[in-house]
Amino acid sequence: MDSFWKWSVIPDNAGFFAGGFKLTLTIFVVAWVGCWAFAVVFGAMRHSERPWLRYPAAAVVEVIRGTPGLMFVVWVYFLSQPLIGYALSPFWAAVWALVIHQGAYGAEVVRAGLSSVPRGQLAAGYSTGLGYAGVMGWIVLPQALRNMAPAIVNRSVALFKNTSLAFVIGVIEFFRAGTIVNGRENASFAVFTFLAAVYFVCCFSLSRLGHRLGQRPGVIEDTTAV
Amino acid sequence: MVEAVLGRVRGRRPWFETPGERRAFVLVWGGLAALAVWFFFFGPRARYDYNWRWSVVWQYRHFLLRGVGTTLYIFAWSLGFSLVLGIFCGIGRTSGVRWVRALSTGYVEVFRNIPLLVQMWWAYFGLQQVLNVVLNDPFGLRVLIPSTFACILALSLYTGAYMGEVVRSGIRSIARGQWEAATSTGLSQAQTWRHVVLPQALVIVIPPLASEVLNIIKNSAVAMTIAITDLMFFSQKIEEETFAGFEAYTAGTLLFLLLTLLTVGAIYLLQRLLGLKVRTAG
Repeated sequence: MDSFWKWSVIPDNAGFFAGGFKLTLTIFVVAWVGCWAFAVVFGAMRHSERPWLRYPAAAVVEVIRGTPGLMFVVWVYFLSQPLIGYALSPFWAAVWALVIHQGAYGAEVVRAGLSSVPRGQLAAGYSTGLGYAGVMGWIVLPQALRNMAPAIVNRSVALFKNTSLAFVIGVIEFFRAGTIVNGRENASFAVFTFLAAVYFVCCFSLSRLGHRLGQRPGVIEDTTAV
Repeated sequence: MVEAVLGRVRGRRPWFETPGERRAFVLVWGGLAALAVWFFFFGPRARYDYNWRWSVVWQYRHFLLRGVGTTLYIFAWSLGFSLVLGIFCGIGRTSGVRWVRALSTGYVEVFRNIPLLVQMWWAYFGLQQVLNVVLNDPFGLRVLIPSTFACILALSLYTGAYMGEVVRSGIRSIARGQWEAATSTGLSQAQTWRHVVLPQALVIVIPPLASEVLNIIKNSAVAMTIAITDLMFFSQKIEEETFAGFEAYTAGTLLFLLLTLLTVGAIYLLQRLLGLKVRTAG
């Protein structure tokens, strides 16, 4: 039986898989930082009371959220040359696409977190003479972050799952490493079960963390299938 | 409807309350727009002479239309299956029976924590190998799974897990007193589900469920990787035939946006037809 299922392809190609997994982790970490930078800027803009900040930000976020992630990855890859005159490498195209796409979802998390703090607290903060940065940094953010924590973790799980989309533009990350091994060894059951198991272990442990942070009333969860 | 939207926008606060705000608006957005224009026409990009050919979008419209058709076909089947799965899973997760709860919890956790791409490839390539081993190559033939089947299977299971969580939270929001009241009037458990709990819970969860429905359309783009000829596939096909990648993918993106907007409209109409107060998620 073992010869048919070909479980041996996993240890045989362990080094190749490890290389792919390292690249997946790199994409994840780099995109995570960018994603939350994007999310904070656009989330704060959408939270603003000023219509001229709120509506343009809302338009950007909603348009991005209405687009498939896969389309976005390919689009950024092909768009880079005609639009900025410089062809992004597949790695950076994938990172930028994930930053913008997941950042738009993250912006909704940030907005929900900021909105979870009553407006009266902002007014009280301003009335004590604090500026925007002071009110945000000392009053709103500490409370918002507590409510947002599970949502941030869940969004990170989504980002980790979406790093597999980089596969379509030729980045040899974990999933593409798997398809390459499968193409050579023709052991689809073993390879894809292994891929699924590794992704599951990573995402499940992360989401358990989010679950543990989210056992209070009033938290924002943000579990959506993207 | 346009009037209603405009009225609401006007009815809120004015765009600018002080001249300073107007100045800030002009400086920020005008500055950004000017920068974009400069960059696009005179900046580093202008060195790269891109040959815009928007006409290929119209030329290859039959490709795009066929893609939209396939996407809608996959969407319709996956919507049906995932709704059924989601409702049963939601009931299972709130069930008092231990193994039912464990089964549905396991289903949700497994399918939510694996990328859809991996699930789809597993359903297409992995399942094929399993079937061939189990059936031991009947009549010396290899069994092939149609990619449409694999795609709909994976998409339904994936979305069903998310919908299960949504339905569960809806069921949880029904007060316990209603269960007790239903039991005291002599309704059986099945009758309580059918006549008391589900009609309320499913109405409550319409907005979050709607966003999962939209996610089906967006996630269906992944099916392109297992050779489903959907909108994403045909966008790539146009790129391959004409090398007008930017135009092709932009057209594809806009069509996806159009599909999601039409679905939003359909859900809005459904809520109106059911006589519900229209709400949206998030």
